[in-house]
Amino acid sequence: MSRTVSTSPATIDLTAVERMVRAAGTGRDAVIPILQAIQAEYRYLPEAALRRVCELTEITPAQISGVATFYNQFRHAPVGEHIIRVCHGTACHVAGVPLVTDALRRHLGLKTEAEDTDREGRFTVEKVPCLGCCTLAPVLQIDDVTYGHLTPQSVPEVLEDFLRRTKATASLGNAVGFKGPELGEIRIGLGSCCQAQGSASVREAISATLAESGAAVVVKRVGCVGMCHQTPLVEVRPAGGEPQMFAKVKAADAREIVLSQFRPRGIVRRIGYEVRSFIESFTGEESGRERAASLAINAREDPVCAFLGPQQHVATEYGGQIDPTNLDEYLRHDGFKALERCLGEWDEEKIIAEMHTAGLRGRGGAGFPTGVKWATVRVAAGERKFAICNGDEGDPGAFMDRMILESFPYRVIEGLAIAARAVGAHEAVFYIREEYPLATERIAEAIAKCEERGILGPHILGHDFSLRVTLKKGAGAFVCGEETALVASVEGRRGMPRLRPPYPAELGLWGQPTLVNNVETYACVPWIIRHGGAAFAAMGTPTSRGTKVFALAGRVKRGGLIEVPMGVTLRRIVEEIGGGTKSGRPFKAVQVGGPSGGCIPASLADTPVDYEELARAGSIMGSGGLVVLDEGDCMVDIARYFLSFTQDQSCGKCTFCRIGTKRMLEILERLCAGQGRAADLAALENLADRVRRTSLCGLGRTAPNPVLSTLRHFRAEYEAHLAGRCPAKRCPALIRYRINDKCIGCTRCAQRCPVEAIAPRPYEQHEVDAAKCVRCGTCKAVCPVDAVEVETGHG
Amino acid sequence: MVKLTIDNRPVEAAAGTTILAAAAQVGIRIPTLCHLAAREPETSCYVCVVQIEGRRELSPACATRVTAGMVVETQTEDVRRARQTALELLLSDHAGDCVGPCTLGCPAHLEIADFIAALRGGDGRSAAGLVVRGLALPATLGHICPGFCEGACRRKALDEAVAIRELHRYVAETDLELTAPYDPPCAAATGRRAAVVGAGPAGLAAALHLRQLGHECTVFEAQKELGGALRTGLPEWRLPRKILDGEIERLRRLGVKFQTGEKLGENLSLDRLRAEYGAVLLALGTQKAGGPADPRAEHVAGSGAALDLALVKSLGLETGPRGVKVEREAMATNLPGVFAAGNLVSGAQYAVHAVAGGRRAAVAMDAHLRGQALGHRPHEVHSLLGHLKESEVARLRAFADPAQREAAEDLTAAQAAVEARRCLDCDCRKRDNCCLRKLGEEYGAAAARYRGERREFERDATHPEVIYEAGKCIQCGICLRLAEEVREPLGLTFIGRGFRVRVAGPFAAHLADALHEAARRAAESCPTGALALRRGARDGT
Repeated sequence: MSRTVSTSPATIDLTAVERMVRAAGTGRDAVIPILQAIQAEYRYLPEAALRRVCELTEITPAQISGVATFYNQFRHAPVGEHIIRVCHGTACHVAGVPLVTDALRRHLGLKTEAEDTDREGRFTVEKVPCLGCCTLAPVLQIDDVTYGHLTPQSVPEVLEDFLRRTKATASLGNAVGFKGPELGEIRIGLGSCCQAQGSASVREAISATLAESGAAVVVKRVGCVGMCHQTPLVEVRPAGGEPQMFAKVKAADAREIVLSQFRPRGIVRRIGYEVRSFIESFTGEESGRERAASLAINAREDPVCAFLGPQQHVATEYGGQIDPTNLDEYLRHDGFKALERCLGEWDEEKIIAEMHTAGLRGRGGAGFPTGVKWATVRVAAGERKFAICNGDEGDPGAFMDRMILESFPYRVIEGLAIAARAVGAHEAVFYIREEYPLATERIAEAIAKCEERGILGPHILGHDFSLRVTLKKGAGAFVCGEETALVASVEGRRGMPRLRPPYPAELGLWGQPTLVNNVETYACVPWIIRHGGAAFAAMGTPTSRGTKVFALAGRVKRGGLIEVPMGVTLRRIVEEIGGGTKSGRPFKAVQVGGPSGGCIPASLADTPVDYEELARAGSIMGSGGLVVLDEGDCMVDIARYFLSFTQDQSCGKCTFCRIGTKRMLEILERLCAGQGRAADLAALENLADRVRRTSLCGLGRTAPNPVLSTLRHFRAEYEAHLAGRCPAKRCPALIRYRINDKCIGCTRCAQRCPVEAIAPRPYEQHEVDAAKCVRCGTCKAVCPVDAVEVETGHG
Repeated sequence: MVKLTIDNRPVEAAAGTTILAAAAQVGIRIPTLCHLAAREPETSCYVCVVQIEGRRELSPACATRVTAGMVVETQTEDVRRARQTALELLLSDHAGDCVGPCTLGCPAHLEIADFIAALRGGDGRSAAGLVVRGLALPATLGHICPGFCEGACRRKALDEAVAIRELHRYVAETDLELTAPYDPPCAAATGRRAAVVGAGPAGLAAALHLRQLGHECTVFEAQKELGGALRTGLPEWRLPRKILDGEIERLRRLGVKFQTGEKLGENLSLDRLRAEYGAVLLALGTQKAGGPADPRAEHVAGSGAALDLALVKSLGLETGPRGVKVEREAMATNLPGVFAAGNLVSGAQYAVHAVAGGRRAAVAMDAHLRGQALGHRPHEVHSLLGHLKESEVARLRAFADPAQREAAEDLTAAQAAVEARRCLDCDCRKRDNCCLRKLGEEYGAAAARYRGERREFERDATHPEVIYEAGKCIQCGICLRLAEEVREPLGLTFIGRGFRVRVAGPFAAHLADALHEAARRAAESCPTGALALRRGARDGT
């Protein structure tokens, strides 16, 4: 296959650049959209194109070079035909993605770290911080196709599958309705995770079956239900009958589900169906009908009940019931009633008072009282105020905001509009990370529909209040979740934070008072306005009122998205809702709050989910990522993992974060490599304290948290690493694979070993050559008699 | 106006003033690196941190605005440690030598890069001044020194070390042949008198230095001729008499008095010396059993050269494992006012060690003569480039003069010129006025405390006036801001993010294209040696 990218400037057609500039504008703040357009066109950023941009706009060479090299998204060299983005988020890390990456690179023949494209130019491999599909960990994306549950062994199949695929782009609109009385509705979740599990092809199969059978059934795309561990989920709602949910549905099953629920129309088709079923009942194999029945899950059954039971839906109200971008449906479900109230009946003070009563605190992680923030912006001096929705959810292991944006775009718009009204802003911006294309698409569509309907624009809902909402995409920088860095990014600069005070509430976008709130925060607002702040405050704890959306992932049986009242204990979340660990072993810790948070040990599992309680236990609330860890997870490795993330994402401005976290990471890497020195723990603690107290922004200030919390609760593991042992048997440098005498000499391990570290000896006990072994775990995975042991320590 | 307290002093400042500026108003100096006066703060270096009462975190004074009733402390123990750590972290990611490995390797710390640069620039006189003041006997040593400097020379990574010894020999001998050779200037006469016993390398070096400090100096020598082991231990072909005599003549010109045939313990009394002189230096050397030691051949203590222990004991001096015991910095023996240096202290070592010891003793004697305590040696910060990566060696090769080392020992002027161009000039251009180094010394920073991955050595020498070494950059952004202010068409920008962030011209532009009007100002304002004026541009030539 030939490479399709050209590297020589002479052959680059620069007229495309002119088109992009016309679309994005010539101001300095157009730089990121222009760069994104250039990359979409040429698949990297040719220097000639960047120079042309400087000629056509106010953007200077210094600005464009600085911005183009700051954000992860931008590539400066041509790439292969297909891009493989391997997720290195928390859940994926815990699920073993480093070994998957190794296997992938080996398979593509990439030897040195600098090489990222195979020799034929087919695939370029990129590590990305988090794709937000945590319950399918480990995950990778090849172009637009997502694959989950990877193993080092499955890598070659995945690549082959991708190359074989015909890219039938699943259209994301609803199926065409039928004339005549409807027999019912089939709902199918089509969020990013669901699609990664194949729900798009399930939907196609359903539509095809319906077309064939002629049944008058509507297929409806709905937003996330949260039961990610059960996807693809199909809910069948026969008119006048009991709704029935089917889990883990495959495209092949879809046909049977449809036909068993909705009889084919027309006598000929019906007879055909019955005859087929009759014949199948003789073959002895599970008939299609039986198979379909086996996928059904009963909403009253324990696992579902346990998962859904304790939840309270505020931000995720009507989850799984409405089509995300269907405006009429949103309106039918109390949509924009809250906004109407805030424009018609209530004034700014009343709105803000209600927010005070509700006690809502920022859901992005810091937990600042929302009412206070709104009040600050409202009274700040400035002619042109802004409201920003922070959709730069960068915590690896967190995907709540993605889900809310994909499933409830109108709700977020409503919350944002209410906030804008309360603070007096007539311009609002959605800032969404570019790694969330579906969320961006749905928000863009929702904004357009709102404008058409007069819900946004010069006189929203017919009132004398104007609000213009624009959409800006991030370009790959975790630090841009910090509000001053976000503002810098919107202004077309490198996402470098600045010291606060002054806060953006007083001095923000373009120097004007700017409200910055998280997606989930806005998503709670309409409910609060409709039901009253007191109703919200009635849930939760005295200092942490209301509900919180969490993304439960890691070793847990039932991972997914949940919304629970604050005050629920971690134990309840992990054991009751999550069903405990997949392995059945007791869980060891819960990582709360992502790279800014900490690991709460099982001994403290009765800690309630509450801002202050979590801080006391050595963590933070964070944005909502909860990763469950068990005995197979190494806490030193977890600390190293998080620190390597924050180190990579550091903007580089302040000394302690830029260099301090690097030195801390080097110590952790030495520990995990068995090269720790006695003085290391003290040095690590000392640096951690310094970085925490002497960094410019929240990224640096909280980067040491995972280290500090694991040192506090799991110090013994650190000491073990100093002695050359990894108690969890994870760290490759400290473990050995050994084949014991259960070995039957089947040679399977020798055949599958990717580095030929096991010589095949038919019928004899095999041996692992420790010098060649890369600790990928393949031998252990394929051994039929469980003869492979993992050892650590000496002797 | 806002009223606050800084270091227990009341301060009144206009609203919006930073703590840094408010402190300056009352004469309290808070250190900074990334601050550019009268501009918005960069908040990058975090050296200016202070403790604000009630806050757990330390705050950057350059960017924190004063509020009413604020209580600020600028020099708590915690604040000082934080500044020290910030400096140490910056130094841990610093690719450069403050002082070249040659100078550090030389026991006398001769300013090698400077004298070679002077030679390159055709300024033989300055070169002579540097080697005379630095080595006391530069021509002599140019014949016999083993050349620790060359052992450390970075040029070795490319081909062979620079012939440093041959170069200072050339410089010193050329100077000696002048009708008016270089004589170091002497300070005004102090009226104080020092005695030196022993006219070997230690004693001669001490005498030269004492004269430069303005003290009278008399050298007592047991033998008939001066020079000690330099005279008696080396044949003519190793060290021509003419050279040694010429360098000793310099001492005479400076006013050093010599008395030969005076032997301590025989016709020379230590008590008498102590009575008549303010300070006495014993530089007796070592004696081979049966004759003086060859300072070049035997340098391992105990290999035949020995102290005259009987004499030493009879004088009442304490001894250590190698020789007479002295306090290392003060070079003082157990007898008040009596100092010792050279082989007498260290056992048999090279002449260059003796020269270094002699000079150290002279400094200590100077303090003693003035009745002052010898000041603590100030903390020194030495950033070391250390072991070079392949890529770094390649970059050195790119700008190094390609000439091979001159094999001759006795260089002609032409050969010396060629050899001088081989020098890579490793000393930092801002060796003596680097803010990072100076603050590091003030806060006792240990450059090697946080060893780990560091940025790579790079040198952009395209610009006619300014050299840019990205490895020394601390990302303060001063040069960026200066370039922006004068609207440089290209200017400088941050490339990349995090630990790998670098300051460079856009589109990989070289410095010559990136900076025009702002270049000189940027070099002067850069707080480290990253952007610095070339040697020629510095002195305006």
